[in-house]
Amino acid sequence: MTLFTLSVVSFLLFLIAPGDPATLIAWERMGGEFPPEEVVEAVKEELGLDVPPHVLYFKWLWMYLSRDWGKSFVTGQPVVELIADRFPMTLFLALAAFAIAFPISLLTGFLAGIKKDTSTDALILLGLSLIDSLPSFFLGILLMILFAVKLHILPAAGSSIPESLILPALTLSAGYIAVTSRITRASVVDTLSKDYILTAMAKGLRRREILLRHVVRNSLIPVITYAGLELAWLLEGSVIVETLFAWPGIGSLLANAIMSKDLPVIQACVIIIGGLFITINTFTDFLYHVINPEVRY
Amino acid sequence: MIWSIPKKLIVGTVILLSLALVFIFALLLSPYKYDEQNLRERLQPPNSKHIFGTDGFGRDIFTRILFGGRISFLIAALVTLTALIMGLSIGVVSGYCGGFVDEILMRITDIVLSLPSLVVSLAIIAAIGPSIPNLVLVLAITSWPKYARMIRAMIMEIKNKDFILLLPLMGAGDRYIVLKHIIPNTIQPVLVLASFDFGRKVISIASLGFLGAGVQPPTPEWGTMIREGFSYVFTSPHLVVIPGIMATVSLVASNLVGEGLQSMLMGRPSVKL
Repeated sequence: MTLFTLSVVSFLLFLIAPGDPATLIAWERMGGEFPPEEVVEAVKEELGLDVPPHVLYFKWLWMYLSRDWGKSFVTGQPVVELIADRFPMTLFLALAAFAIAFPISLLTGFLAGIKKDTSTDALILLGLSLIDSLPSFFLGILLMILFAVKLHILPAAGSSIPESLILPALTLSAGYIAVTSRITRASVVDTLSKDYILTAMAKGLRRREILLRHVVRNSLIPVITYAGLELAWLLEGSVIVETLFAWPGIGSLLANAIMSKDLPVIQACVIIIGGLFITINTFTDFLYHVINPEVRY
Repeated sequence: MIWSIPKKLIVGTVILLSLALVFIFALLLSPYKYDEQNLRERLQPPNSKHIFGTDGFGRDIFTRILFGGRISFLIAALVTLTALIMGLSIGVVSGYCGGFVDEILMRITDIVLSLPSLVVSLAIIAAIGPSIPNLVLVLAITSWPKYARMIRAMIMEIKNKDFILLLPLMGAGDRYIVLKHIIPNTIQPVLVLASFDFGRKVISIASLGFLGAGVQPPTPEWGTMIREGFSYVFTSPHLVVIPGIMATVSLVASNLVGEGLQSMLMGRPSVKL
């Protein structure tokens, strides 16, 4: 259902964009001269554009499903190829960010949770809100100035692996860490207040054992579902981070396409990022129901 | 009843209000114009003549920050207001009517909520162009569902309370019940959400500006300034750091207001929304 909406939205982009596509194509064929009405009509008929919007939508959908995503207005390259080139880079960046963020979030979250209301907890929470208040473009710039401009350890931009990956991945992971740590902390605090922890303590189990066997396992459940949900966020965050560090993924492709008003590319990027985003969301929802069947909306 | 006002609320409000005042009276505070170029004095670091330095065209950064803040705060306020009104109307209708109407409205809300907001905003702006009314529209479209959901949930909760159930017996009409009893009882948490949201919208505007899809030059805006100053990041980092700090301060202040309001109105320790 949501996927359907996304496809309608991206299709509508073409319809609401100023300039009729047939006029544009006719204009291109006339070598930049303003096309007369008859030529536009002819092009419309030739391309089958002279049908009502809903028919056009299904035609367009069919083209998309059969992997004909059109050509870039700017480079003339087929959009499918562009996306296939760029997509692995974004995936790589998102996974790297995840690999940095997830262990850190668990660690800080657990630490804060089991030391609730102590100075360690307060310090971690303060750090998290600091990270959270830095907008990603600003955090990225600060990291860039520190590591690339002042210290000269890491490159400010580029696509060489692994040096160029570190700064963008760190930037992207920040927001993730802020949210996931808080969720982990809340979950640990919640688990610690459960009766079975009291039972375990009454049995005389050692603290270490209680923590490892009961707390870690039980508090991980909500964390994992949220971790998935947040993974979708990494995709969206990659638009800004990739632009900032000139990382050649889908995000920077989208940002550049927007500058040059390259509609077929914009459309494809929106569909890919949006589609993945929705798929991850739906999957996480499903996972949540599997883990905890009591949940009903 | 006297509430003890949380420190967070005071600090946040003072920061936001003083920023807003400074932005409103920008013309009186700065001797320069935001688009006044002076190529002989370009890329100057902060000094006594230009307290925040100058940019690549020799324009005074302090002046541009003030006018940029004016635009950002104006758009963010308009967006928050529009989203709140949209969310309020949809949430009230959905929660109060229930049944089929509720089903459809909530389905729409869920769909909008599950679309990636930045990407969708970018796409729509690419199609309709980045004018200021368009920006307000696009950001409001992606922000209202949170309000609608929250309001609906609260209405579901109070709808079956005795004082609401007894109102029709007094002869109260739907309109009266909604306006006089339901909305006043749901408005507090909504205000909390709106205070958090204001800062986030400032950041969204700056993000769009940074990506080139926000407020267009020569009108100054923090994100756009970062975008323009980005090519000088190696030599004159103040070009990007100053607008970045401004955006961060606005976000922190608005979060403080949100947290403060939350603990004051609900008497609960602050929970991140």
